[in-house]
Amino acid sequence: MNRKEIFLVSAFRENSVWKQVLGICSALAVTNLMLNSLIMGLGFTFALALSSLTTSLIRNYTPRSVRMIAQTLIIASYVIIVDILLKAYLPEISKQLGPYVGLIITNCILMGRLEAFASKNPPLDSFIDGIGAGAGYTLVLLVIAFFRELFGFGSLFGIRILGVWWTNWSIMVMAPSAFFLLAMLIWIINKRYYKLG
Amino acid sequence: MAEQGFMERPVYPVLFIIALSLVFVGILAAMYRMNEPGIEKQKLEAYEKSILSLCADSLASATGISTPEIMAAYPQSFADYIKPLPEGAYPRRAFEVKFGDRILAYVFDITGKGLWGTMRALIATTPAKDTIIGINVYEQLETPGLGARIEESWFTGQFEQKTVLDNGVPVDFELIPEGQSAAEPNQIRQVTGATITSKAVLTMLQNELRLILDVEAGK
Repeated sequence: MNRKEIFLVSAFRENSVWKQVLGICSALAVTNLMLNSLIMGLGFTFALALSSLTTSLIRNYTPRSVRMIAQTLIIASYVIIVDILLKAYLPEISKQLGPYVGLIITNCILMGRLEAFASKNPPLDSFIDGIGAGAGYTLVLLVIAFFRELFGFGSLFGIRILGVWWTNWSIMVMAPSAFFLLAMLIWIINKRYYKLG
Repeated sequence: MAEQGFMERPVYPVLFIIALSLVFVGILAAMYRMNEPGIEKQKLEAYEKSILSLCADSLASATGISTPEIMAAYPQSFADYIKPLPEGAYPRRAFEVKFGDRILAYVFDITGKGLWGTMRALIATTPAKDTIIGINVYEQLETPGLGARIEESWFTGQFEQKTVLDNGVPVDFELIPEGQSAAEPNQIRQVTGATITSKAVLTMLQNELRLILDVEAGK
């Protein structure tokens, strides 16, 4: 597999959210605003890509018995770095994202990619795989956030799109809407591209 | 092959994790140190803005400048109107809100025990310190979704324009269910599912007001 293919596979064909159904919690939690979703996605991609790179670099020296502790340690460190950077430069967004940035640590996608890919493949490939999986995740967040913010607030990235005639759907602001939007997304993609059901 | 032998010894995983931890702790410590001034600055800014927003309405009616304009003029407006009182004047950090020579309000930084940890709040009072202008809980460790809702404006807004002194004694507030509407001026709608936290806010208010009033009485 060349690098372009690695990226495409982990971002789309084997997308962590719609194909592997991982990382659902955060996809439901932070998607009521486009900007929050974008920052969350970028932070996530940053943490995942660098964790993949690091895990891959030390893969030949990592004892099997402690590999998962090592992976968790690596993930946690990068996530804390994201948290520190957000606090220092984007305090408003840091406040809105609240505990969810810290909870990237427990996101199954990270552990999944490190265990399935980075611990067996060369550093650069792992890095690309991390970027791919992160891009796939960010894409899902943005698609859900697009509908939630548009219908829930009548705006996109905080810019008013729909006129004053628009009545905001308050369900879209709340968590339940993310459940059915995500379900619809998975359904449509499965139906169209994987010819399931 | 010597290295291979070492990697198979039982002590190797332990040493590996210790080494890895040290490396990452070092990186994190360095990252934090580098960004600490930035984080502190952002915190201070949020704190000062919070003080300003509590008394922005009072300032607006005194100065004739609209509330949003006062907020937009931060940090100049903070420097113009808000003066920290010298340490020791009150047992808590205190700020005087002044327009010219007229004192418009006082802001106190109060603290109390919540359900899970210390809560900190800013409270603005009238110059006579008998009426609350506004309150803002800016730091708390209460349960997200339940107790943490004491930060929400519907809850803190209930204290606005509340008389807290009755003949020099702090008023006893009474909690009523969230869904009801207050019939008496001393009734406060509590956060559903967070009775202890709601009570803690009232206790904090009473204790801290008493503390401030004691200073006043001693003068």
